[in-house]
Amino acid sequence: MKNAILGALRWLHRIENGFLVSLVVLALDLAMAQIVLRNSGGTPLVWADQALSILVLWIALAGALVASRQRNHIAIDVVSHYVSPTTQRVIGSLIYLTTSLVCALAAYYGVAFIVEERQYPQQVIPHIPTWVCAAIIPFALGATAVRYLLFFVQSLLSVKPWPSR
Amino acid sequence: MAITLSIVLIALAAVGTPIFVIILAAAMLGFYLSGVDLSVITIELYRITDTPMLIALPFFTLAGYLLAESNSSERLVRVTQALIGWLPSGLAIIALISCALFTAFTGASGVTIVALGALLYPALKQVGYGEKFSLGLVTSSGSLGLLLAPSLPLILYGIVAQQLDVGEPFTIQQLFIAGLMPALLMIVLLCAWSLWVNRKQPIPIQQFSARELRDALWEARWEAPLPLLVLGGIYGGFFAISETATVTVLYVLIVEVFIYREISVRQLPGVVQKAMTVVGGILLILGVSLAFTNLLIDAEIPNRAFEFIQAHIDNKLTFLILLNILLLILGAILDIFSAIIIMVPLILPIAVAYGVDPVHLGIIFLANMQIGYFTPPVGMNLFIASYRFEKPVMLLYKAALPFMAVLLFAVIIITYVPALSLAFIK
Repeated sequence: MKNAILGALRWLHRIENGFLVSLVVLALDLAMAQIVLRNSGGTPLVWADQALSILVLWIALAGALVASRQRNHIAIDVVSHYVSPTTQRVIGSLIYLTTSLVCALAAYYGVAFIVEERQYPQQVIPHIPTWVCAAIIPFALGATAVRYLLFFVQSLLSVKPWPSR
Repeated sequence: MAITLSIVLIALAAVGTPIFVIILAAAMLGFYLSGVDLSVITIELYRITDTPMLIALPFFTLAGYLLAESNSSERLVRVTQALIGWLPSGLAIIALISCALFTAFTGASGVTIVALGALLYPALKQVGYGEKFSLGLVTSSGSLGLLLAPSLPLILYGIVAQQLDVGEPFTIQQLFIAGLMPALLMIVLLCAWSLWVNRKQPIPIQQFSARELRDALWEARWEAPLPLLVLGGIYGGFFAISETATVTVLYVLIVEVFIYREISVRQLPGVVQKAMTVVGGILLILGVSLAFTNLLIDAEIPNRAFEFIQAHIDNKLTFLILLNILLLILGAILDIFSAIIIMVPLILPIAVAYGVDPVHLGIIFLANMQIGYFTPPVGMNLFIASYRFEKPVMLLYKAALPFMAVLLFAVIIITYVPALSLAFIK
């Protein structure tokens, strides 16, 4: 059972990493194509700059999701140096729970927004409605909520967190 | 209830809750209390796509990570040593100048620390500078150069100020010229301080050797054109910032992976992933800050704070002192673009009424913002540096303080000697 979970996690992490890297490759290709078109007398793609901005949003949120997996988000660490390991664990659990709740709430309202957006589809990039572009926001927030909930449970049960690679 | 929850949030931030969670929670709380549907959070986060030149951030970050993963910092150290190693504190001076130039076009969004700092920090340590000094130097250099052309905040200040039609009209070019001397003052003061503080540090000074310079340049021949590519691309007007970022990352990719072969194709996805984790962490904070800033504006909090101060000031000197303090705090909390957009329309009319030149105000504004970037406890660049160099934020607070003192001294001169900014344009 444990091996099955670990194996599934490894695949999940691989998919995440692959997704993140593919987004970067896509952004690089698009940016490069745009430069070539602009400087070779061709017509630059009108939607490319907007698409690149959206790609950056996706890269940012996919990257943030990996940061969540590694519990590697920017934070102030004034206290951790001055308290006992037990207090540290209690504080850790509290942080995991808070993060999970806040992200879950934001994700919930995000989903509501996307559902509403779907009723009035708009397109900035050909063939891709805006709600699809924005859908990464509740998705990443929701996944972060799940991740931190698992961290919370693991820290309550005092088990070692799963590997993050 | 709002106050209790605010205190809880501050306490949660202090014990190490991710910053983005705190800002997100504060924004949601604020929107909830003012009766706004919380789906607005998604809209606000999506607004990140309206930020100009955003693509430069991931690309420059990736270029920096690629350079950091290869041995380019060693080659840079060698060239630097050969070039100005005969000067005392040569590498510190090169670090200051290159960071200032880099920040000038990237707008101190943390790119300098993430990309160039990653390069300079190991190099500084390698030639014998102390850890605290090196960290302080790269952290404070991350916003040095905001006053140099073609810095985006400077352009933005010009646009906002011109729209207001208050005081003497000026051009953006004048703003660029005005920023030159103050920026130079900051660099010179920091160089002088680096010399002073490292006077007893055994940092090797070598004799100038044309042969060594030639060899060092030959070894770094593929990377040496990089500054030219970036500088020439922008100043020469061949590329926009985002295009320069694209060309730079592709060039670095080809050079490090296929020419120097110091990063294998197999390692590449790992490097990309590491770089983008940092980008994600930073942009997520930027995104939720957009929502929070909007909330502050809706609640007219900047307005009210300023009305209060206005009622208690009666002369130019007091005004300037208070302005400096206000801007320092703002710079530590707000991102520079929001700060400019929110505060300039409020401050400029009053400043002009106190007899401050609009161009001079722009320079004062940005000079203060620059320090705000690494003002403890909340300056953004402290967190970025902590993230990038995997050091505790407390260590960075301590490391940044002396540099802050030097730059505060510079800001005082810049504020109270208007001629420094205005001599060449009047």
